[in-house]
Amino acid sequence: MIVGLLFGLLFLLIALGLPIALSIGLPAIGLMLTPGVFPATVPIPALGQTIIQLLFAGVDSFDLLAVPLFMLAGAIMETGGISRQLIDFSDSLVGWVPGGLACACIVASMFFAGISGSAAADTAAIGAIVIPAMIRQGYPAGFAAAVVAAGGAIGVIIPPSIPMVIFGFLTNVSIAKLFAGGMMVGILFGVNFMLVAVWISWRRGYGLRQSFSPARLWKSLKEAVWAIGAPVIVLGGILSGIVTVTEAAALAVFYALFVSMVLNRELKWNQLPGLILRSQITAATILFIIAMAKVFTWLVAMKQTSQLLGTLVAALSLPPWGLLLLVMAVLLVVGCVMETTAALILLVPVLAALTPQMGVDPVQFGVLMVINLAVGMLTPPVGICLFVSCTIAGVGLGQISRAALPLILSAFVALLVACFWPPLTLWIPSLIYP
Amino acid sequence: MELLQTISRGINHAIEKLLLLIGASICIILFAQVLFRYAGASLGWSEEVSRHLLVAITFLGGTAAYKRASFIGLKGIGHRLGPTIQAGITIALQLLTLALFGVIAWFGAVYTLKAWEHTSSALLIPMSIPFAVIPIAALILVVHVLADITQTLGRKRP
Repeated sequence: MIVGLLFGLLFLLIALGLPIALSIGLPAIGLMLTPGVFPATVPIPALGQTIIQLLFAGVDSFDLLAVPLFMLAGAIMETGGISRQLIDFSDSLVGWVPGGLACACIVASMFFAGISGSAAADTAAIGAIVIPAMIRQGYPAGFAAAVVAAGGAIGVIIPPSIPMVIFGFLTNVSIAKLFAGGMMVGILFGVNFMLVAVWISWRRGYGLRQSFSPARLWKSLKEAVWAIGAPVIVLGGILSGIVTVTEAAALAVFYALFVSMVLNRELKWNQLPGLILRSQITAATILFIIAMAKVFTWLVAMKQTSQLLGTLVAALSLPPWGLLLLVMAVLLVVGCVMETTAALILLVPVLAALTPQMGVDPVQFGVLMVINLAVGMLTPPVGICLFVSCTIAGVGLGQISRAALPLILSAFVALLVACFWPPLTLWIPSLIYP
Repeated sequence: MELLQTISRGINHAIEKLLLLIGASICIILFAQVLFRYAGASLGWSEEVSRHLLVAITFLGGTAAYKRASFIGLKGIGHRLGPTIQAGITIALQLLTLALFGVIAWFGAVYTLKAWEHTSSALLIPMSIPFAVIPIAALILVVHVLADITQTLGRKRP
């Protein structure tokens, strides 16, 4: 009853246009203080104290510190010429195939994903350069924007990944293992997207053909070697256990600063305060959701929702694979209509308890959940990658959504492979952490 | 009315300066943490300080995000129902938001005073200091929301 009211108010407030963080916090805090929700023996001041403690505990975490830091690293890389170098290198590597620039965009997004943890940052950094170039080469604006958005969604699958940090924080699953688990899936997504882009470009004659030039490849490799080195250092540092995820995020900031300011000389000192401030505020919008959601999920947990859901699932008596498919379908729908972080935070505490019944490893489930939400970033009405990309390209949401459809379908295929072939997510973690 | 908006802008200006300082400090503290650990002299305080600074980013950054209208959300269905209903919805949501931050400010202040006796594990400072961020941020948000409400009302009158 209370839980139904909680979710009902949440969706109502979001529909009325209240920001998500407040739409989560308002019903949760409001209902906690409503007489009758808790027994009269619990005094209101005690509940007030609980609210404040929950808000604090929701974000009092060393792991979550990685969120603003990975955002800052991405912002510095974008401003400091690193994304341009990655695109040049990718273009000389794969630009000779049909739809070459579209492929190059996805390869560059994958490299960028190796240091940035956010799909929106990935989309913005690559899209700002690639979309105008693709339009100049004769690609339709909607298609260019869709390819960039798809590449951007890989940003949260290939580590580092902010949603994986949040999943690990909420479930105590090792964030480093989640990162290791995301690598092969991320590459599979990239290859899938490239195949679709090549096929469509070849069929419809999009883009210009250029010949492969070893000399250009060598030149762009020399220029991009520091940019390509960034993922090696960040991921290598985390997976070898030299630094924690959060420390790696801080190192990523300094590495990006070194490349942008000392080597490329494209980032000026006076630009730095703006970047720091912007990334702090962007991070705060996510962290604020996390803090508010802590109160919300606490109230949901107090009302024994997980047990209820467990009983309900047992009553369905689905086989493990059926339950897994059902959960994935629910996640996809939620990912379409809700913002990623909010969806993750509200669903993880409830769904992670079902992993034994689904017959999946918690690491695999974490990666699956992040993939699902990544697909959600590509689907209207609430897809952050689509939003960022269509703003850059100047096309409407409808146009980009139609162009993105084949890419979304290929993402479904990759998602199903990840669901039913565990080595895709678990093989690399098992190699690194035997 | 004008005064309220001037105050709101002034506070936000100061908060953004503070956020810049906090962001830069976190990077430097964590970098130092790695350096000192491999130099064989781990810092005992760096993790706790950076965690508390993250709480500060969340709530103070939240006030700046509110001011810049960069909280994530949908456009809302109100704009399809005509300007009068839209204005009504906007005011209602602003009043609810005001109540939410008012409640957080009140309970936050009460708890912050109470937490004076608890000390943090590494620095041994009173927990009131990190907790104080919550009521302060909530109070700033109350000012921002009030400034917004006066703006909405001012827009409707002429």
